[in-house]
Amino acid sequence: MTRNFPLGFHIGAATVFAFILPFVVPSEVLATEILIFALAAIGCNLLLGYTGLLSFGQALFFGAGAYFAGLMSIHLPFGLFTVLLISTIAGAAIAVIVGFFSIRRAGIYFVMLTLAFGQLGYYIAFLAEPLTGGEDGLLSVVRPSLTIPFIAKFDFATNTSFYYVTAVTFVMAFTLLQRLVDSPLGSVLRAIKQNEARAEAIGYQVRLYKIAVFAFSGAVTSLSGALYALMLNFAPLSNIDIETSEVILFMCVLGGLGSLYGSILGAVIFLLASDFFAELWPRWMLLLGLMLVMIMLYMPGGLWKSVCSLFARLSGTDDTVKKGGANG
Amino acid sequence: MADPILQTIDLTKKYGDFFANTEVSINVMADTIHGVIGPNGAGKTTLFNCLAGTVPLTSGKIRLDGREIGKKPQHVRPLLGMGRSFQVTSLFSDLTVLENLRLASQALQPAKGFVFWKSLPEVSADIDYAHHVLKRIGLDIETSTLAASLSHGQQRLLEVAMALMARPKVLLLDEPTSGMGIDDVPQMIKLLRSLRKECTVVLIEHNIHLVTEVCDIVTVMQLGTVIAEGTPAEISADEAVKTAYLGEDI
Ligand SMILES: Nc1ncnc2c1ncn2[C@@H]1O[C@H](COP(=O)(O)OP(=O)(O)OP(=O)(O)O)[C@@H](O)[C@H]1O
Ligand SMILES: [Mg+2]
Repeated sequence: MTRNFPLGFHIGAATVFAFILPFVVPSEVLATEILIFALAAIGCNLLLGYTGLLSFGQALFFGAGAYFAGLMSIHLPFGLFTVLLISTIAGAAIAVIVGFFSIRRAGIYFVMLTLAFGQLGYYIAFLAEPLTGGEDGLLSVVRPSLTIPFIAKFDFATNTSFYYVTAVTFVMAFTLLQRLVDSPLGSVLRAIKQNEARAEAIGYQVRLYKIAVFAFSGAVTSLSGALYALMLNFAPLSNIDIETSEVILFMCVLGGLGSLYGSILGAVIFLLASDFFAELWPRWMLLLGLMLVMIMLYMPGGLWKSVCSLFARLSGTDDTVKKGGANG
Repeated sequence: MADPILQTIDLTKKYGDFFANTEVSINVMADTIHGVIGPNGAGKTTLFNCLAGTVPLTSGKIRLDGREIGKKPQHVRPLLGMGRSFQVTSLFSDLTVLENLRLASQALQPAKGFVFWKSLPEVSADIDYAHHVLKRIGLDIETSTLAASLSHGQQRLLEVAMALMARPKVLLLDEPTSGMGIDDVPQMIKLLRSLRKECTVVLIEHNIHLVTEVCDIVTVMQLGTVIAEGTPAEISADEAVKTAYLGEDI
């Protein structure tokens, strides 16, 4: 068992990261987007990196969060906190349903079920035009304000103010989920990923654990979708399509499975590279694809692992050094 | 005579049309080491899979300490006192030795596994017990070693240690010595003898020497049925058993 870092360390790391980010990336909007997709990639990592569940339906949760937040902001007098909270809970509820049915099948059929649920969500959003705007997306989403009774009322019309809303949400969600992966629940998830049959045999009801991790994944992914709709003032249909699932999955695998920091890094690199290549060349997707292929080929453990082993080598605590020392 | 701690009544298991176990009725008495032997494919592992709930029964009953458990799902049976090890080593390979054992202990408190708001403590009763089990099983290794990097013999011991973590009333051991070197067998014999003081052991084993050494009672299976039962001495004199093993090295 590796020693867990104390919670304060993670809060500090996430806060410092969120504080510095807008000063080092080209725009505040891009910084906001990075934090949002980092949360979505983390949601994916909980399933894939920690539990071994490959979901191709993450866009369903992301898109649902976007629509819920958008619709509430248009039709209901809720404040920001309420809108984000309800979107999060709704995402968890949807994920419980998707998880409940999908985990009845294993392997490739499980993957196909998550894909099918994702497609189902897409068609529902497409057909429910009066509600979701169908192909045109949900327009004129407004950012709800935050009222602290008798004290103050904040609204978040500017990019800067909305960045700070996202940053605070990010730090809170990241800390909570980092705690989750360090918790007894996290240890059971890792056991399930390693050897599901043995986990069940020693007394863990694997089905319930999988549904639970779906709930957390759905919750954080839906929260990120909600923030995205508020950021764009718009909930496009593409939020809930297969390509969004792909992007989220890609960031997650790119950064590295089994580390939440990896997911953040995955989102950073993916979005920065997209932004950079997009200015270079109109066919930038090609360059992005090429870069991803290279990383997958030459850094199979993901970026985070490569960064960690680089640091380890620089500071002389290389894995091989350690092993050699213990044996010799 | 006392009631058996584990009892199967006409336990039958079919895979499709194939009877892997046919009306198997055995009584395992408390604090004994009960051997189960038989040629390959006799249905010994299938019997364990039924006892541990890994596969559902086709028909029949299983009583553990007077309680019917035949229909209980697999994951609650360790809580009821049934522990098992696997014939084919089944560990959490990329986790440490300590974590493998700790997980097996944590599983006894199902609610604990859902705690997500607390960090895993660095000291706990589960961890203490893991050290205790490691010591008594004679597995003298760094607890931070990954299970995958243990030698085959060490993995077999860890396999048994994991089953012990559940503090079972009845411990099902499926060929604990399989693939072990001949030098490791005495250690296993010593371990099995010491287990008698704390739980009942049902032991599947091909090593007849080991069975004769440690078992109080032996059940012999062939083609899914029980063909003989008795003390090791009685069994080795049994004609039916000799025929069953004809051509095999007994
Ligand atoms: N899941 C399964 N599906 C179909 N048949 C099975 C299954 N598991 C076992 N069998 C069959 O049941 C029979 C008994 O197998 P089992 O593994 O119980 O034998 P065993 O006595 O443990 O043998 P060994 O000494 O080789 O371990 C075999 O013929 C086997 O092919
Ligand atoms: Mg067997």
